[in-house]
Amino acid sequence: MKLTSNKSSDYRSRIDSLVTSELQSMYRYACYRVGDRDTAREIIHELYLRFLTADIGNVRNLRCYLYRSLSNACTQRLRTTQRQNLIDLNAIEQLKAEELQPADFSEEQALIEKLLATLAEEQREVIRLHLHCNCTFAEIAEILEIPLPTAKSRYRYGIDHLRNELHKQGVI
Amino acid sequence: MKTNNQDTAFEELNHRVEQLLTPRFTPSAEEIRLPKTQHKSRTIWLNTLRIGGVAAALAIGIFFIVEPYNTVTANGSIKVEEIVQEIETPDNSSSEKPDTMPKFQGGDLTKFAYWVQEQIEYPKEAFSQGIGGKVVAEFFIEKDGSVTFSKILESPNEILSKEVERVIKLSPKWEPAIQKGQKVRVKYAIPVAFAIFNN
Repeated sequence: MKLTSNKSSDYRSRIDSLVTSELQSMYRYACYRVGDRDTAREIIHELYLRFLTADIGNVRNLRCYLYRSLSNACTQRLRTTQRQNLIDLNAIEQLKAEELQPADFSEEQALIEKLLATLAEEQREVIRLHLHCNCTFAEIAEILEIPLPTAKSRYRYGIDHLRNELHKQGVI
Repeated sequence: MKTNNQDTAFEELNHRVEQLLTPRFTPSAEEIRLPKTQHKSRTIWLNTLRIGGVAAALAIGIFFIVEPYNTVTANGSIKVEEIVQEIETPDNSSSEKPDTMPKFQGGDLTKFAYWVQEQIEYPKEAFSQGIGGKVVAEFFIEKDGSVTFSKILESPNEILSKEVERVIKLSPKWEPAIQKGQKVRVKYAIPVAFAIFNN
């Protein structure tokens, strides 16, 4: 990785400002996505350094580009560590009532992953971006390069599916 | 056909689902700091290095730690076995994570990373040649807490490797890792990113 750049200080300030303002959301997203704080921190630091040296000055919406890059970086990391979550249609059936009251980050991360495991990845990602990063559906549509109605419907289908499954199991 | 009552009930249940999916135990923002760039904090050093309006920056941001599951490096994943073999246990049979990980000045590897960042300097020769990139260095925390440099796992250039090696060798003693009541040796690796920016 060559980290040499001729970026202006204005460009660096712009990136610094953007990443600093989104740091909390990015960290939350990455922590819950990869399930490990150290790995999440590493992903964000690598992303930050890449943004400082990349040729992205002309990107129209840097915030959306930032989250798209973060999402891709997490996917890539999960792929290399073989910790990708596959669809597990039975995850909710195995859910215990006490798991709905997580006591800490690890328990909550496990719960969220278990719930999301019953959904298709395309629905999971919309839900994560909306609930973990506070992205609007318009932003999510841009991040994932999908039409706005698709972003909304993926979210709605995902939530409806979980509601039905959890209700059927009598846990909500 | 759904009634208004049904709609309201669905809305409430959907809200409950959204609550379950929304993180409450958000890790604190203090856990993460962006890598610092030295062009702001070390002006005296920079003035020396400033050549034709170019300033140097370096950053330490990422690291990995011995864990009982896959650990990731810049090159991909390192299998657990490759790491835990480096933990020397009293009966030489265990390959578990130590009960207590090594501590650096009361903190963990993050604290050490920031200490390294304070110590490290951009080598003038590398700077003048426009050499940048990421160096990943491996080292051991010995049973007595001393630090032994092991090797460079990844580096774009020997000059940068030497600087990282120099700083790691300067490390004060750590509190060693404890496993089953005994001090054990643990391997760590830390990446250091060097970058040059034109001002």
